[in-house]
Amino acid sequence: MPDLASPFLDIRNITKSFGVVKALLDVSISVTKGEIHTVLGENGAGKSTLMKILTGEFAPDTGYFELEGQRLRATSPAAAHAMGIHMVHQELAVFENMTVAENIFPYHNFKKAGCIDYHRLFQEAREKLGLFGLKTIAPEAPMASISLAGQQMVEILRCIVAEPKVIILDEPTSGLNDHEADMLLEILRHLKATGLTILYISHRFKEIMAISDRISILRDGRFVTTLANDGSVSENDLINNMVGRDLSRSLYQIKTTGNAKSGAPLLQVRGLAKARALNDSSLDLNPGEILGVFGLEGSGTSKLSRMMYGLETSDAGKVIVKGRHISPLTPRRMVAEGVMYLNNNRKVAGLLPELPVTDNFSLPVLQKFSRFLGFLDLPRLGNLATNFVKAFAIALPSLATKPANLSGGNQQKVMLSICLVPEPEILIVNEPTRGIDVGAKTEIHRFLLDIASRGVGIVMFSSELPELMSLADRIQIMRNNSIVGEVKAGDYTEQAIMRYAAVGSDNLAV
Amino acid sequence: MLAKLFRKNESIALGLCLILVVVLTFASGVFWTQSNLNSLQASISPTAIMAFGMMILLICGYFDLSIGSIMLLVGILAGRLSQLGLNTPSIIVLVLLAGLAVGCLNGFLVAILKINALIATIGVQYIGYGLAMTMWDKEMQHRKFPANFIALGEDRFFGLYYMTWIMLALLLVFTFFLRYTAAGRRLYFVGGNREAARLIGFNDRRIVFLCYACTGLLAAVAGVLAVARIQSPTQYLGGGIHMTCMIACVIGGGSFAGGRGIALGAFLGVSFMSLLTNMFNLLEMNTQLQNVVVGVTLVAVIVIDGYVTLKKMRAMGKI
Repeated sequence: MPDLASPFLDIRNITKSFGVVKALLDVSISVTKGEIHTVLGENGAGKSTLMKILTGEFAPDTGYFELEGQRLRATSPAAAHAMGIHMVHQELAVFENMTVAENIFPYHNFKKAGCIDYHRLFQEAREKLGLFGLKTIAPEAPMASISLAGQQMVEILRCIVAEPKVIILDEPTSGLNDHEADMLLEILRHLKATGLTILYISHRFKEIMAISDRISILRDGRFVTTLANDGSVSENDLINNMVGRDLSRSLYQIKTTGNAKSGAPLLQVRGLAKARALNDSSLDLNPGEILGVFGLEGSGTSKLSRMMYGLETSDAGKVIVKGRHISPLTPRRMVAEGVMYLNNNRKVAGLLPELPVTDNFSLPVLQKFSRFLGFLDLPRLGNLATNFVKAFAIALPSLATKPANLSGGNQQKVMLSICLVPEPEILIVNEPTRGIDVGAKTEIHRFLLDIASRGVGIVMFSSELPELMSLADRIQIMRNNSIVGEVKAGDYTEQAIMRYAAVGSDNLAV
Repeated sequence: MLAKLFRKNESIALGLCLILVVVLTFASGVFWTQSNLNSLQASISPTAIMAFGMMILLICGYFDLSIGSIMLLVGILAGRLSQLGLNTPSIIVLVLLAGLAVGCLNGFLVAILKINALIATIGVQYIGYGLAMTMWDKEMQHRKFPANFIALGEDRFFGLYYMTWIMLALLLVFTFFLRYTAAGRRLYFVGGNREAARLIGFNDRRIVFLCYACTGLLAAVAGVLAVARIQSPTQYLGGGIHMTCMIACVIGGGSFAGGRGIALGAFLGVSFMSLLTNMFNLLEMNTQLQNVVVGVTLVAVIVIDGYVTLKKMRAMGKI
């Protein structure tokens, strides 16, 4: 039984901001030795920022953490390793070009006469693999040749052989099937029995209930509570703590009636599917409707958004725009059919940060404004940009300003208005307000409502539940790569939606 | 056993070399003569020494376009120093230090300042070339190096040139380093997944910096051996050799994506390139066709490799 009296890993009053966004606000959590401690929260609740602070990737703005009374010496993964904190990342940090054995022992401590002793290396690796019941994996095999689950196990093994004091697992079961996940949980129990302290991040409630000693919940960057998983806690308690915002006083007005215009659906997605990424997903969008899609991390929302726009290939299914089956499904075809897509990461794809705003605006309509011999009608393009900047109240020093020099909120507004330049009938928006301040957020919300009122259909992917509840006419919820339910405006409660996202049903008696 | 050999990336270059040797043996009467073997050695050895440097950079996921101009700089600097009357050991030490310094400059630009390797090493290529040519005067090519300097390029030991022995020694050193030392293995980790390597605590900047420094030093060694062989500096030294080295490394199993390649592969790739030149010379074929053959081989190797990798990934359901 873990000793609950003395804090082993003590996280004290940690605050961390990224620009205007407060990722963590005065978070304190105490973890005791030898427990499995789950950190739970919605996307953007601050879990990954907190873990990155523990592993020395970020320095906190204020606050600190101590492991057995020791503080981190420098902000570096190496310093955290020296302290005994290791992390298994969700995006696997494996080396596919190396053997399994070298992935387990990258530091090469087995030497004979100054040379790497491969015989011993393979033998030790075989032993460790055997200990975890992974006898089918050969230590000499190239890492690229083993399954995703195997790679996950190997990465965990690499952390274990370093004899850490604390190991952090970020969604370790996200790529695994049920059997593999069960095997992993068994291994974690075994590790716990040896006295290892485990910080566990997952969105799979069944797993969390099965394995955690205690569960700490974060919401919007703040610490909510730590619950002891001693049988008195139900999945509902967790969900209520994850959401439980006081929405009556928030800036969001919860939508109570849908605004969809009747008529033929604008967009129909039918049976979109891809192995290990998306299961048979369908949705309908009506003119003037905002359809929200919500899901926790790894639930498949981003896959769905990309596949329905042709940014990723799917194995099966079709997309129908205004009654026309789009085949082949490519972004180019979608644009031609009046569909635009707002990417979720403005830094990676969305703006040309080093070109003037005018040029950014002209991107989707270069063809339309091409004149004789392909010369561009620059004066008209300038007018176009001016009109949009005015219409959306984008604060710009001049049209020649580069987006790189704008605030996140203004960048987002520019990006959204660029999507509107070709006058689309359908808009797919992905996290339209990520990482921007409250003022810009409300303005963007107003944009979206305004566009919808003019008959444009919007599919809105967002991990911010209050935002969806204030804008969407319907919310479809995804879990485990499937759409598991739908809630209509008027029936919105955070609990109901989160229950779908977390356990896949809105049944109260879980 | 044979199947395992075939899967190795180096086997393509080995096969190509064997084919060329067989063709040359039958098609040319002079291939196995001493003078032809001498010129083959003189062509392979300095290039292979530089290719070892290129290979360790490729393993880390980087490359260096400045090695040819380092070679030239070293050759002409050696000529200047010899004009000044320095003795052979001093000349060698100084020019090797110069090569090391240029290598460190590359390392600083790429690993520390994080400038794109293409830009940084092209910049250094021009700097090196410009510096070399400011030191150059026509007189130089008529002034021979001291006899004990020239010996490095001329003298033999058990039938092979000194430079060949040096190259073979370096081949062994790098083979050992890359296979049996933790420091050598780290290059593969960095090249395989730089982000992950950083996360497990490897100092990727230091590793890449040291690889560039080492490559500069190797280019200087090659430069010394090459000018010793020619007996006097020439302004044509090292022209295009960076491309030869990169192509040789890729044919020999290296990859621009990083994370793979061994020293033997660099040696085999260079041998292929030299044997090919040799074949075109001995058989009096149109030398312009040689470039076509090199280009086709390079592209074919990459296409075959990409196809095999793609097939493997498909079979595993990863794409």
